Amino acid sequence: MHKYKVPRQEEKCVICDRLRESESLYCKYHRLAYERLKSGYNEWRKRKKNITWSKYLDVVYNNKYTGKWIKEVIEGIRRGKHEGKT
Amino acid sequence: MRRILIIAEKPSAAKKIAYALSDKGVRIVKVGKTPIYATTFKGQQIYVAYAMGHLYNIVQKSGGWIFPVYNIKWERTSPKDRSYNERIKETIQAIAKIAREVDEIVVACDYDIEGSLIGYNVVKYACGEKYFKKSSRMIFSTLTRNELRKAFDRRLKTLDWPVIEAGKMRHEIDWIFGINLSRALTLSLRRVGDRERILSIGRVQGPTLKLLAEREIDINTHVPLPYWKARAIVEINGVKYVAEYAGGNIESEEKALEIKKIRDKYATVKKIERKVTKERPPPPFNLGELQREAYRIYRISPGKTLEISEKLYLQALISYPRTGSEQIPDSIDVKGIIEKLGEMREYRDLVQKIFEHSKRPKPVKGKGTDPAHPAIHPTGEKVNIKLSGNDRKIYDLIVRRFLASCYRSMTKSETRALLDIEGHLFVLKGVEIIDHGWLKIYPFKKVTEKPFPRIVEGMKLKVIRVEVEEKYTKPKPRYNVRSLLKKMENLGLGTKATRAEIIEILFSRRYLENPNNIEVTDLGMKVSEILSKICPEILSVELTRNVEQIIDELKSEYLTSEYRKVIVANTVLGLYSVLSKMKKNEINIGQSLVGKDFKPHVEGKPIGRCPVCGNQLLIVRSKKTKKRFIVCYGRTTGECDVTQPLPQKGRIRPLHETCKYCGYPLLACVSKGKEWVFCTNIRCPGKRKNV
Repeated sequence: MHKYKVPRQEEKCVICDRLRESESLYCKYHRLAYERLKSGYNEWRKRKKNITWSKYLDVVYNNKYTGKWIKEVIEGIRRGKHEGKT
Repeated sequence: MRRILIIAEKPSAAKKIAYALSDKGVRIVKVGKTPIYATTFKGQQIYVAYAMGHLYNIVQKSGGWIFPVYNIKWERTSPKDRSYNERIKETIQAIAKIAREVDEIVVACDYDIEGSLIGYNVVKYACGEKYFKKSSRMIFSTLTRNELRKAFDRRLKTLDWPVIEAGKMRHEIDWIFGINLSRALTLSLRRVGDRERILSIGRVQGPTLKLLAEREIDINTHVPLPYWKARAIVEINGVKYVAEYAGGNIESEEKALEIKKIRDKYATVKKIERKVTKERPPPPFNLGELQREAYRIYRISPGKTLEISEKLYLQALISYPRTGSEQIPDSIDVKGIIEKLGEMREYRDLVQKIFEHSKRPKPVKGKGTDPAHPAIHPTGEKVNIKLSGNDRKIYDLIVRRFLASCYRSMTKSETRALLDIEGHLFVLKGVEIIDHGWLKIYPFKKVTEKPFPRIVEGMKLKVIRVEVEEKYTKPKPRYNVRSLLKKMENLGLGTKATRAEIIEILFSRRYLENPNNIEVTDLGMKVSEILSKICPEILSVELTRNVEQIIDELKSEYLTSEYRKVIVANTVLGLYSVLSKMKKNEINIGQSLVGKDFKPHVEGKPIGRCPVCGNQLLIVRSKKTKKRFIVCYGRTTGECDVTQPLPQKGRIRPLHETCKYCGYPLLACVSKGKEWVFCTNIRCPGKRKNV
């Protein structure tokens, strides 16, 4: 019989119950969302010169076109759960 | 007198054929309980029998509900199949009985891969292979009297073998892919205790699901970007007009603010351009376009549209609908059809317009081609029965599209004026329809007219205000059934006849929800994710497109049985490694599919905790042998693999105590008036010590 390795809490994505990607706190989807959120900030700064990271997160979080996983990542960041932090 | 048995695909087609080929009327002969149409035509005795869709299907030769399965055979459709009908057995017996008495068997099923295969299977299995020598094939696109008579007189002297082989090939490949992958997924679920759900995936379902899952990921990870739109409101002769910023979307806040600061009260007309364009009428429908338009205009689902158009075909009101062609060949009497349509009150005025435009109307040709059938067109036959709401809508759509394709182009004029306000350019646009042309006949396309003012170059216009609005980029839209059909068609996924069914299966498996704005469910995302990881080739568009291409190319050439077997073997070769991988990862796949909250239900009597994993140990009975034994609940989720045997005789009662040597629960067994206590662990160290 094949044994299923039940993921331990520290192996799970900090946002959902999927397995973390290697060297990341996020699963595949939330990692992609985080990367797009970061690259989105660079693009926003080109378009709106003085926008800060926290203002950017506020505006994006409250926008109706923002993707579900992006919003979840922002919520995670606000709770202090994001890449670079444990 | 020469006796001929004609095999039609459906009862209504059989009736049409019998009446079209009758010299002196039609009798209904009952063979058993099955009605067969009998008539005489040009001195020949004709019997027309009918299949009811597929009378034979592929089944597994031997073995249980396992995978991989490659051993297949064709067998009479059983109640398990979707195409099962209670009268199948009687129908086959009736056809076999008549076949023994005739000199020739004519297959008159629809002229496509499925129709040819249905006819072939009936001849092979109901009548016997020896009848192949006296079998022939009737080819037609409408069920009108003239065309059926012509098709009967000019029938092929043999069956259409390449098309039959192509049909067998598609069925075999699809069956092997579908059954193996679906069983692999479903058995993964069972392995972790979910015995309720059945999952499916196939050669076309897989790539379609992946396509939708990718869109879902794009939408869920969309970060809106800001942009600005500027417009100037100008007044000309007391009427307000809107001029859009000529540079399109503005991608910098600085620039947007600069435009917002415009204070000039006048705009100068720099340049005026006028362009007159003609838009050719749309070609007659192929199935995909009919399904899309029916959905766009009336919200009729593609599956329903196909069902209705098949009904209209069987009533001889339209040509064969499962076609990819958007062209009407010259051999079809277009003028005759239009004249007949003119006899119907609702189309009289439209037909009059067409003949005023041209004495010899000719439909425009689209890009789509199909060697077997022309574009969908009305036959001109009178509508004798009252068509219900949706049937009437689809028929009307087909007639109008066909008539519109014979009419003149629509002509419109588009005018653009370039306005300069403080060095910033704005565009004022106007659209005017000069001649509605085909739009009068097919008024379902929206062309918005926009009035253009009387202005000349150099003129100064009064600027009321300049507006700048901040906007955000939207995610890609979700697919709806119509756009998904179009995408599948562009990617070569599935065929015109199967696409709608595939989409419906994905909904019925709960991979998708909300047909107007398709969302992939959690289950759909998991299936797509797991297959992408384990066997990305199954989800690749290339695999399924290549199979369709091979089928399309080979059906028109000489495809032999041996060649088919080689292609099938080569195509399913890659499946072997995929299935091995799935087997190896069964528990992981199952666990990922059921989710963290799933708790499988196990029928059993709890006796205490498992010393290995802490889950409950249960006394259960084997379904196969009916013997009782102990199993750990953790086995259902793959956490533990503890099982222990039990004495088969006597009454067992738990003692709620554990063994001091190994920690397993102790049980008492009562048999023939005696009771003894034992440890449930067969390898308990206490037993070795003879304790």
